[in-house]
Amino acid sequence: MPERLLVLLIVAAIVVAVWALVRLRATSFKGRDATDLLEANRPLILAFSTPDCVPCRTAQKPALDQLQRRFPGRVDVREVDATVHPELADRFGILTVPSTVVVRADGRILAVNYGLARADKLTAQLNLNGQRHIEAVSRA
Amino acid sequence: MNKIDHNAIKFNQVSLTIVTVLAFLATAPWLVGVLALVLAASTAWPQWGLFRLLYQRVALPLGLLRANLHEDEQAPHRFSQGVGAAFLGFSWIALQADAVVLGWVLDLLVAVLAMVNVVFDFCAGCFVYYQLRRAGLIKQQA
Repeated sequence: MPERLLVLLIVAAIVVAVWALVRLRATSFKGRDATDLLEANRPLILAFSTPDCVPCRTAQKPALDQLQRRFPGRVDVREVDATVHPELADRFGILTVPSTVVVRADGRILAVNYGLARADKLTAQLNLNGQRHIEAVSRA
Repeated sequence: MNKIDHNAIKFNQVSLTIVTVLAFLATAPWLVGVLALVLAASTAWPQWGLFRLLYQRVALPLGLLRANLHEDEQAPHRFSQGVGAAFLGFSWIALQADAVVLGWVLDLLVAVLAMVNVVFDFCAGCFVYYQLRRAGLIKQQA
């Protein structure tokens, strides 16, 4: 039993270490310039998917739709087929789909999310709630 | 698309993880076999899935969890469950054939993949599929 617990701990440690490496890889893109991708003076979310990616359709797309409904005109969302644009996927080290790249209005990369990113997470990364609060205060 | 309860799926994955880990800790290959059968049965007849029944008859009525409905497709979730059943089936066969390491590796692999999905929202199947496609081992359908 103690040996088996030890094995379990090692397996858990390996999973955490791999996840930490994935996070580290994502963090390495933070702050890089992506001004060339902006079409307007608005934040941008690049949503990488593939035609046969089911979570992209059933989970990521609804999350992005929800974000745009909550903050109309505040953020651009561009869907990218990673198999059609491999050069763009390579640029952001896309490991899996769905993945999202969050770009600030000034073109700096805020975050790269490997795997599903829910609407709340994207909202927090773009600080959309905070901006709305600031706007409301300045209007008052 | 139908409304799918995502909390039911997470309940299923967490329950699966707990039982696979318990089987490993208690050195109980029979539990792996039973779990493989349970998963295979719930893949074929989702309404009779053991964990689904536990979720519907126990977790929801007791207020331990709340339904979290989303537009979704049932097929990929059933497919994942079927893959889990197959892995556990192979795990049981390996354990019966005294291939102990292979058997428990397969058992724990199911636990790890289920938990990674629950905790990190990371679809391991999608990752493998995407990487195989990028490597040119899977061709895009016309």
